[in-house]
Amino acid sequence: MSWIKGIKLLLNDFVYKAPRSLNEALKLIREEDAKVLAGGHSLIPLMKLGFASPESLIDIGKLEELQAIEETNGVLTVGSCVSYRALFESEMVKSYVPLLSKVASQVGDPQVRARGTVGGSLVHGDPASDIAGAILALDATVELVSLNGKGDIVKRKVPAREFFVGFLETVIEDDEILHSISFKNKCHKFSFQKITRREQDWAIVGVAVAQSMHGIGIGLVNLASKPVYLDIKKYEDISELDPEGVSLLLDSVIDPPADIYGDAEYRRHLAEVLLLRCLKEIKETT
Amino acid sequence: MTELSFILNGGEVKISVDDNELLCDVIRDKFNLKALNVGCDTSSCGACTVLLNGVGVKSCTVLAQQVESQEVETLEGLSKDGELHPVQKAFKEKHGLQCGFCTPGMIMQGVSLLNGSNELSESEIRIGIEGNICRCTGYQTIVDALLLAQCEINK
Repeated sequence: MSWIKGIKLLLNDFVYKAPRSLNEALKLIREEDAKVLAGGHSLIPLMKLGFASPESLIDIGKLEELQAIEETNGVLTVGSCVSYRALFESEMVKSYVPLLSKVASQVGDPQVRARGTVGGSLVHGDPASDIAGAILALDATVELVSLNGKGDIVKRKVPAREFFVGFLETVIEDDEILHSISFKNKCHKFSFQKITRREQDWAIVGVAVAQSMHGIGIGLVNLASKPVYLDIKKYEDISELDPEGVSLLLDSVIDPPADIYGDAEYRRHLAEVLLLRCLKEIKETT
Repeated sequence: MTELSFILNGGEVKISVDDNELLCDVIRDKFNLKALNVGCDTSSCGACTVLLNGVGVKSCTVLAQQVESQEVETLEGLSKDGELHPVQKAFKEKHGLQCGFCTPGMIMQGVSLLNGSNELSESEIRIGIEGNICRCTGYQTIVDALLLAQCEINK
């Protein structure tokens, strides 16, 4: 239970554990009411506001194998505990999926980017997450790990498009840890557009588009209760997409929220404008 | 209580902390270093910014135990041998403060920003302090101070 003393927000009592290996971490998270802690920039604010009050926190932020960025057989793999800062500073990420670099450089503010992690953001499952929009557009694969009956680590691969289930809800199970995100397609044609009132704010609406030799992917930020993937497979050439086509496409997948920054109709309008801007930018990229 | 050891302003420190204690509270209450302020307490305002391994972070959203064996620097650690850090001098010179509440966080984020090797433009400096809010809205003199500090550091 979290409470307010004076004006200071306090965290509930919990036991903090910093396992030395992934195996140990996977054992510890099987305990009752355990939560995984990476950078803490989604979880700690939630705990302060009383939305989460775990019995124990399992800190995986220092596990080296979750900090790796590597390329094997043409597939780029980014560890779940890579910070936004490390992500946009990585030359490998920039040369492979520059959309991810660009998005990472615009999340939150510099201090948040120094601590917040890509995996932490994804498992939090915020519909307004920029990174979620990017991994949807890039057709990434999310790799989850858990222990089987014998105590061995087993992997489960989930396409990003199937990862988000609902508001702050993903397919990850209580005994799983997000290990890494992998990108099998190099992708140099991309665009990311978002509207915020202030630099550090969450996107009122964001749109990420990536075009590789395998097609176009579109990720929509803050336009429904979860990050949304927009399928445009039936259009062979994006130049076929006019404002009316875009409008119809969007209507089939979005259900925009309403808050002090705008009502649903305003967000719908922004989505259309931003998607057209993205498509225009991609068309102009040679 | 757990035994925690880390480097604070260049010296190794050891202290007992509760598992749910935040870095900002340990620095203010246990080490009595009161420069950093807790403003919003929800990682928005940046008043609690300290350097963790040389990079600005919001200490209201870091558990004390997450800094085990790491280097933490607060405003109190900036001056060397009685000489103010160039960023501190520049804030004084350009009057980069009004009420002063956001100042320690602004200075620490400024130091983090100017630690990089690239020469920053005015707009890059503005973006670099996007996570620090000055409720007096005295941003212009803060940006002037950071531009001056950059000149001094690169001299």
